Amino acid sequence: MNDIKYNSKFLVKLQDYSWYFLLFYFLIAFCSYLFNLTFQIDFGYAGVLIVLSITFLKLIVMAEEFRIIQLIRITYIAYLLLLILLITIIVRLFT
Amino acid sequence: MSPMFLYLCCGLTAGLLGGYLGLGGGIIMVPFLTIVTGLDIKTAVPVSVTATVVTSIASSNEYLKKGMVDLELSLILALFMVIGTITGSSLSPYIPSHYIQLTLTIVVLYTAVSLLKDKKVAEDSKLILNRNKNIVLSAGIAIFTGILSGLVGIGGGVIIVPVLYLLVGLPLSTSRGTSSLMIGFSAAAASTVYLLAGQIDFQIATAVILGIIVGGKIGGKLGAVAKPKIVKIVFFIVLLYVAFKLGHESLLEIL
Repeated sequence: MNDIKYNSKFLVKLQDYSWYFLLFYFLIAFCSYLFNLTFQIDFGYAGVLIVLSITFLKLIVMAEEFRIIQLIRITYIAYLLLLILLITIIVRLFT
Repeated sequence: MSPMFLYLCCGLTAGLLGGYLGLGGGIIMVPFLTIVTGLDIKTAVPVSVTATVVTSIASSNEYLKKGMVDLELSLILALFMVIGTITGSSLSPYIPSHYIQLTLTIVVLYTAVSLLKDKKVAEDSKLILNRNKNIVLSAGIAIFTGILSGLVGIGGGVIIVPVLYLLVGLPLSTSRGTSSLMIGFSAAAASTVYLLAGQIDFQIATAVILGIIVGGKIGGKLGAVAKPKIVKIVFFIVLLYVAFKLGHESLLEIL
């Protein structure tokens, strides 16, 4: 392990804010379905996209934090994970 | 009662029990959605994996704040788990529902048994002989867990936590924290596959996710102050009933 300690504060903050945002967002989305508002499908679809985007962002944050403490091998693993997810999207979109 | 409230209750229950007992929620959500609301398992699984991503955001943060996550290991094992999850979720459309249901029955039974055995494990015991060799073995199990996760919609914590604790030698609390973080990545992979295949019902997903966001927070707080012994026994009986119900239905269709 590297001498410089991994700083997870940014990741914690990101997840904290995400939790409040998702609570607020899905509350609105739930009401929109309940009252049959016209934009309901887009709201739910966008919600799932937001959840997935937060996960991708988490991976980038973790990779960059590992790069700062010079654990390059783990940085590559984080980006490889991201790459696998992106390849899955591309393959699914074009096949 | 409006179906939306029923799905919301499902998310709430899964969040409450999952947060209270330290489970992901998928093991509660999928049987609840299939048995109580009558959804087909192929509709319930994509909803469950998407909700698991949200559960991971909330639960892993509590562990991160206490420094109870092995971040390096979570990324290494998540890599293998994601490969398994993508395989599992891609295979899902080609496997008949009753076979998926039967697989879920086995996982539910395994969860029920491991839930009761959990208290016998001492926090400080270590069974480590060769960490690197065990990490290779753990990676293999992570792929298998990923396949199961993608197929039946569970997070996989019920398998990964014992692996991290017994094979890798992490303390139990760190095993739970590491598992909760890596499950988020594997569930996101499965959710991506289901999303692009157009298999996620957004209306159900919205209600379940809202329920699990609220329930998970309350369950986590309750779990920190109350002893879950009685809940564990009740939940054990519920899981046995769920396993019987799911197993009976799927076996009738297969035979």
